[in-house]
Amino acid sequence: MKVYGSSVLKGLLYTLKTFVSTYVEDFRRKGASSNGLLRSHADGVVTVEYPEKLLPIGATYERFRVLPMLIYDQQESGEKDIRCTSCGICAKVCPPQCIWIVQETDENKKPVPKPEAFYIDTSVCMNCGLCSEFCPFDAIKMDHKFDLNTTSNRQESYLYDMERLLVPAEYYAELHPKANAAEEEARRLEAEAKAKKEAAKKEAAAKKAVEAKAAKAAASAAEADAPKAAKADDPERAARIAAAKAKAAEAKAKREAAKAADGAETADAAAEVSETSSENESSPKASDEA
Amino acid sequence: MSQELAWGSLGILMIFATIFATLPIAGAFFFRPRKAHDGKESTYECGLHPKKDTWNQINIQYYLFALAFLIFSIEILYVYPWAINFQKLGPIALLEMFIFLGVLIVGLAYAWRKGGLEWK
Amino acid sequence: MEMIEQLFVMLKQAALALPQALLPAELYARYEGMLSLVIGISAILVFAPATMLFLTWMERKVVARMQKRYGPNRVGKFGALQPFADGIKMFMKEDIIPKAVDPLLHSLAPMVILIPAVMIFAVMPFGKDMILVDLNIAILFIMSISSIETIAILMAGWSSRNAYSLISSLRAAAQVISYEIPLGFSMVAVLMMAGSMSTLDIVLAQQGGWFVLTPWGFLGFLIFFLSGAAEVNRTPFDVPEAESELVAGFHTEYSGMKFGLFYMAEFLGAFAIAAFSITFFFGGWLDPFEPLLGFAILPSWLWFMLKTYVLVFVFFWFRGTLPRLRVDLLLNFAWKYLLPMALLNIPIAALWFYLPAGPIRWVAGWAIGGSLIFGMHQLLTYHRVKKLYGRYERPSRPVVTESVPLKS
Repeated sequence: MKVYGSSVLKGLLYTLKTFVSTYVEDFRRKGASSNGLLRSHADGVVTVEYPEKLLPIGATYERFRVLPMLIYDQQESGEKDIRCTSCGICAKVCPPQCIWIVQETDENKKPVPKPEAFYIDTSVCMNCGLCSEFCPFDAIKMDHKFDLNTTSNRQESYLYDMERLLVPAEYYAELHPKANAAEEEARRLEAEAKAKKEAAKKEAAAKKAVEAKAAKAAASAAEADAPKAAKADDPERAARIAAAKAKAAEAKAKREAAKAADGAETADAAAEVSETSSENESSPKASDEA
Repeated sequence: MSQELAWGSLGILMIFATIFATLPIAGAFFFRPRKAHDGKESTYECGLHPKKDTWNQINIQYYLFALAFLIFSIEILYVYPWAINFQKLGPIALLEMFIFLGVLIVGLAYAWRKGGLEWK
Repeated sequence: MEMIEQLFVMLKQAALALPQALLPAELYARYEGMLSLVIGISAILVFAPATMLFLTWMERKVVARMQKRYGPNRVGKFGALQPFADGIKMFMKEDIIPKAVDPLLHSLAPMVILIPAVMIFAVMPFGKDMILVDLNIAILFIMSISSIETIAILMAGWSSRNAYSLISSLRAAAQVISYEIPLGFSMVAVLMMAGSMSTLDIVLAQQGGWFVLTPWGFLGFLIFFLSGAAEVNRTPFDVPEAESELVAGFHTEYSGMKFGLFYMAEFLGAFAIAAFSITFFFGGWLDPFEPLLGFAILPSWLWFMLKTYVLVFVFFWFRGTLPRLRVDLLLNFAWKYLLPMALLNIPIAALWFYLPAGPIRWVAGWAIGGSLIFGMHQLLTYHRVKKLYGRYERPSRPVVTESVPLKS
């Protein structure tokens, strides 16, 4: 039997439970330093008293985003391998147009896929994260650092240059473990597919060469056979047999070649699929839906 | 405490309450700023200028509810004296009160059925 | 114990000692009653704003906790000085009187709303020997004085010459008069059993057991409390002050201290409804353990305050939980639910009276009364819910496949 109005009581009970649990949780947290983790929404007060207490970087949700950052991979030689290729996609998609990139050139004034200068005017940046979504090289990502107060030199301190934007890949991996894992997986798959494709291509080429040789040999054999057969038997029939043999050899060679090419193609397709899927995984929107 | 005294006390309380209600406004008179200008003193309509005067005719629905209220609040006044003396008057008065309430309930049912209690 | 019990009575005596020493004996004897009355009134006039200050702070704290926030915690320890800061702010603010308003009514409305809100405390029994005026028709006084609030709201809404204010005040009037009916009928059962309209007598009639423990008392309390909440425009019945629809309702055009008076009247009204619910149904200042233990644990005035603050908490609890009712549902709730229930309460009370005293009364009374209440509730709500949802299918819930993962 349905008692109308019982859900009102249910709702009242829920708020009462919340009311009590916040105090219980306060009591439990008393000893522990609450300047720690982002509290889960399960129980307790979720407010972090900002000026006195500060969430450490990395305590927020993974998809939390503030300002963009540039990622470099630390080489063993100590050099910073900046992932950015200065392709300029981020600068183009940036809605408030706050990214400014200068491409590096070598001694012959030829452009090199590397940024010479990279500026983000953070006073204009609206933290949308489009740059990181569009970057095909996983080079620009969103940072978690939110406490951006400055007390001096406001005009210049808002203009972030490359020095301030660069972070090591490990830092990114720590902040975005899930996205990073997905991206690494995608990169690995891509590399694998690429290697496979290369290998398949090589193999196909090798096979093609072998088959072409075989076909040639078969053809020469048939040619060589023909006079023999003509001599021995009905010349017309012998010529026919030789032609058929040559044809079969050719067809076989063709089939082999097609097979090899096919294999390469499927590998290509697989690589493409993995690429798209990895893109999906790394994009915040997709993980949002998940 | 005699009832005359009680009502007299209430009268005195009313005077005090009036002073109590006036004092904060009067006191604030000496502290508050006075910077009048047209924008501030215009009628508030979320940033727009009011198009029509609000001293206007209003929905008849309120009148219907006021009528129903009047009927029932007078009924309450009739029920109260009986309720106080209920224990002394006994079951006959209870029966009479049920008849009275029955008429009341019929009235309520009528208003309900006719849609007089429906807010449109 | 006796000393704490009589603390406030003794304080009054102490305050009277000064004029007694100064004035000639004859003159003092003549004006003693007057002086003690003035002291009592002063106590109420100190108590009222103090209560309001505390309630504003308490409401913000309680609702904040229900929403997993801290609430005010900047001014003073636990934000305890927040109401004082707000009071000072209101005091220093400009008093804007828009050009379009009717200035006289506009200025009078906040006073008119505050005076009855304070006067209602006169018949409130705060404790043993702690009532300002023992009126023999206290209930009528409460009902009449609390309806003056409607006039003040209409004054404020009409004089403001503002669409929001006018709509709000008319809604408030419709709401308050609608809920006054169940409020009045819910007290009939109490009057039948107590046989008096005096608040003091009603409290003393509950020495055998609180009224709320009986089926008619239980139903009466629910109706009284809900109607009272509507009377003082508390959530979920705060349609007149629906800030999401009507800006601030009838006090949209008020600022500074005038707004403060409206605010004060609202909180005093909430406190008064809670306090009278305690008086009529929860034994007022009576100590529930005294008949069992033979001695009082806490002084009577502390009992009264404790019980009242529990009900005040329930008001805030409602505010933290329930969304606002739509205006037609609000009026339906008064006329088509509370009023029939209140009428049902009278036969249940009569039945209770005619049942033989003792355990039979408790068992049979609760069995019959409880089933009557439950049946009526089902009947009335079924009617409403069918009417509301019969026309269309209720939308099904969106399927939530996975919760958003949290990081530690």
